Amino acid sequence: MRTRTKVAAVGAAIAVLTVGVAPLISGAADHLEAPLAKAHHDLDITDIYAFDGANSKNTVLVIDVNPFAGTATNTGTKFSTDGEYRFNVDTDGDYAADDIYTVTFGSNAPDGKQSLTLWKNGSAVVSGKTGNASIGGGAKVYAGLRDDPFFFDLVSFRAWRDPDGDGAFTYTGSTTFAGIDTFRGANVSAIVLEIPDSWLGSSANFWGSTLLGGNVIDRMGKPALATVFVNPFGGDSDKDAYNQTAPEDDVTAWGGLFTAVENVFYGAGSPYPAAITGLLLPDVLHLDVANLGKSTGTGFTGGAGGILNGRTLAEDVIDLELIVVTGGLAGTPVVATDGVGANDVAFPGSFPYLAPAH
Amino acid sequence: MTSPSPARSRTSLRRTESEGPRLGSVRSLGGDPPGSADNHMMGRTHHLADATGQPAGGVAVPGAYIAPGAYIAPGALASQRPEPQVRATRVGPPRVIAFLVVAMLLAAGSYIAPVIRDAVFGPSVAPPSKSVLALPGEATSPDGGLPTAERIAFWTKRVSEQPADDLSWLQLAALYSQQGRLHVDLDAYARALDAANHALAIAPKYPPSLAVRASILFATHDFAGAEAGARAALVNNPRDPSARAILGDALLELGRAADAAAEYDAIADVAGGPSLDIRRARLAYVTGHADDALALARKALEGASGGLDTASATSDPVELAFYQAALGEYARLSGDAATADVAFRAALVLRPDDLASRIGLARVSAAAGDLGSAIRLLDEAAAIAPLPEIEALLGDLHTLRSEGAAADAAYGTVRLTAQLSELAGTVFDRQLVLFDLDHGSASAAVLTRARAAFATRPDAVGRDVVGWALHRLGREDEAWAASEAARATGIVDARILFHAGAIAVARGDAATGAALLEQALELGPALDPLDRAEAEALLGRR
Repeated sequence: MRTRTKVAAVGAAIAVLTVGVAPLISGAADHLEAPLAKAHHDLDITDIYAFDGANSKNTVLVIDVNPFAGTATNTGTKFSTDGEYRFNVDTDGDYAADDIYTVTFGSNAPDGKQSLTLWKNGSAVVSGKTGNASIGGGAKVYAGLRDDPFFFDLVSFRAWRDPDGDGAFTYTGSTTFAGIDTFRGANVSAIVLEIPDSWLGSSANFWGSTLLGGNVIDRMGKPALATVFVNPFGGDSDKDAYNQTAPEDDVTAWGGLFTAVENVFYGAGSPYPAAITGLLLPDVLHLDVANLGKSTGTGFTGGAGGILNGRTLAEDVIDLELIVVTGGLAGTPVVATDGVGANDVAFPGSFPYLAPAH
Repeated sequence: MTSPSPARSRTSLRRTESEGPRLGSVRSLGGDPPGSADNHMMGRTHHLADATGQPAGGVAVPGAYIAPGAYIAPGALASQRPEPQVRATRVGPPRVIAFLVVAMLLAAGSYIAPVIRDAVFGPSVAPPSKSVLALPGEATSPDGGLPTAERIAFWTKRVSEQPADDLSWLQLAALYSQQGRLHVDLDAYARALDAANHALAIAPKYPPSLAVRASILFATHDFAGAEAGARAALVNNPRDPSARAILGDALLELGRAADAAAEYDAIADVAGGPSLDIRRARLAYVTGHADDALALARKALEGASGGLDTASATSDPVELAFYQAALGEYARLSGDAATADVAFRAALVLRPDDLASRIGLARVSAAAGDLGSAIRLLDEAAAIAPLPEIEALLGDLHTLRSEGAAADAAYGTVRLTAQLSELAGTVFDRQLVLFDLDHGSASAAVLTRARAAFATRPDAVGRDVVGWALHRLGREDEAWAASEAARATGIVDARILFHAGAIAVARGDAATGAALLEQALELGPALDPLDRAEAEALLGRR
């Protein structure tokens, strides 16, 4: 049952894939979404990850921004100098941040690098510059252009969901996916933070957010929730509001919508929708710190409570989502896999964990 | 591929005293363009090149876009000037032509609103003002990233690996379009259109693909197609300000200023800022509010420079140069030579290869009587991209200095433009018609071309060109009617006023003619030198 529940947790996100008229390339993960995020590629969160460090006494938290950095039109490779990149950590289970690790960036140096500073609750922990590991105050931080660890055949997915591209999802395309990773060769601007497990305690909740001028531009916890569930039938009118909701308010603000979306797949009488909503919201990654990194995406060995426990780089969240969303909880899924089971390049296994940029 | 630069070859044909600026790097767009088999223009270009014995292939032009207001094809030379009789000794088409020609895109607002930043990522977006409609960077993004040619190579590889990937085709379309705009390169637009068509063959109703295609059609002067395309994009994504901006742009070129204004107004809340201000500047100009146009251009520049709010500011010198050039052009068109001079020079500091500023500065210099500087600037501009506008003006200045051979060489380049490709003939239709009318080639056939140009772009300038063709054929009453129709739009434009005055004089209404000619002359640098000379001759001053 634990396995089954876990699938539901991850998978609900995939409802996204099916129901939402979400911005496309974002498809599954949050690769571009709300108006504000979309207008600021350098503050547009694509994914967040949380996994065990190479030193198992440490935990690694990652925020990726800027999809197809430097190759898509109008994208650069720099971090915002006006914005803030926040790793929000709730250590007491009330879904309000108890510790906020913020990374800020300065303008380009002559060598093309940006200065950066890691702050914990407003106090500087360590400073450095992009492209290098900066170590100090018990933390290690890296920011720079890296390979996008996300993998998904978004092209086949789109062709299945919405063959003519008009935004009305018909699911009339081929269910046999080409198995080509749409994010192959793609880079993101990554911020990797490694901190002692003790800073998190045994159990914590983690979400990423970006801010500009005090306004939240984007936030992310579990993969693709906003993409899937918010404005599920088109448009983007609620996406900024979703991003600007504090996780502690998620259930109240968005629970009804999430369940309604799930009802589309499971039927109003099914027990699944409410259960899935309860697992998905608040939209944070739960960290069972001692068991981080043991969820591989092939077995559902998540931590306490059977929910998604952190997110490793290699975890195939898309397959999990496809299984759940396309009927896997009740029988045979329509689509069990996108045919992409791994990233296009190997992960180095040591800090900063993401592969070098292409 | 290291073909000699057009500038050098051209110089060898036409002058020996100096060389134009070296052109930039060898064109390398990542191998064969996608769908190159369909790329007729490319083939034609190579054919021309081969015919001259010159190496085929192009050279990347460190080029420019054209400032608003440049829509007034300036090759217009006032008098029925006799064709220069001296032929330059030339063995073939000027080498300049061997490279892809050049599009002075659009005049009016060749800013192809980038849809593009959102193109790949989804239709449902209403981005805030900042760079929604902003101009893309040139070689590299100001905040890093690959040069455009390498981005094109990246997405080209992807479509070769997965031809069903419409999002990658869309990226290609957007990048080629960006390249076309910045480098004044019609061939890049042909590739852009081909890529957009591939994307739409896969997902025919995807709004971003429709919007990008509309922007390409606009850039290549298929305004009706751009309008239809933008409307199609808006069907499933009505809140997309980029598509709506393209719709407004197309409507403006189709002579529907009020409709264009409504579209611009509709996006003001979500996409206000420099890119909208500069569109509204053109709207103001074509409706006869030159002062407002100048004020809006100034506001756009301030916004882009960060003077209004930092959210609209840009650090991209190419983008800033665009706004400086636009300010210069609206200043020139309203007769403010001093402001124009400062703005054009500022643009050239920001972007030395800024074509529009070089042309504008040449006009300002010529109006001030400094023909030598004007010729030098135009030679430099022609080395970047030998647009018919540039070559025609260059020929006229040489004519004024009684340099027949040099004038003839420049005029020869203008005539070859239309032969380059169907697309070149379309994009430069008005410039070429005016050139023929003012260089001894008026005929019923040219009138037919003028009317065809008007049919595709039924605005004030289109009416004026038809009127001018009728005038050259001696059909003065019809000419006057067309001229009146042009001025009824409200536009106050030096060349249109000059044409009207000349027609009035030809009809025997000397008083009306003199008043109109005086009005045109008062606009100073807005009136090109030979137009000025003819106006003064008609007033009995020469």
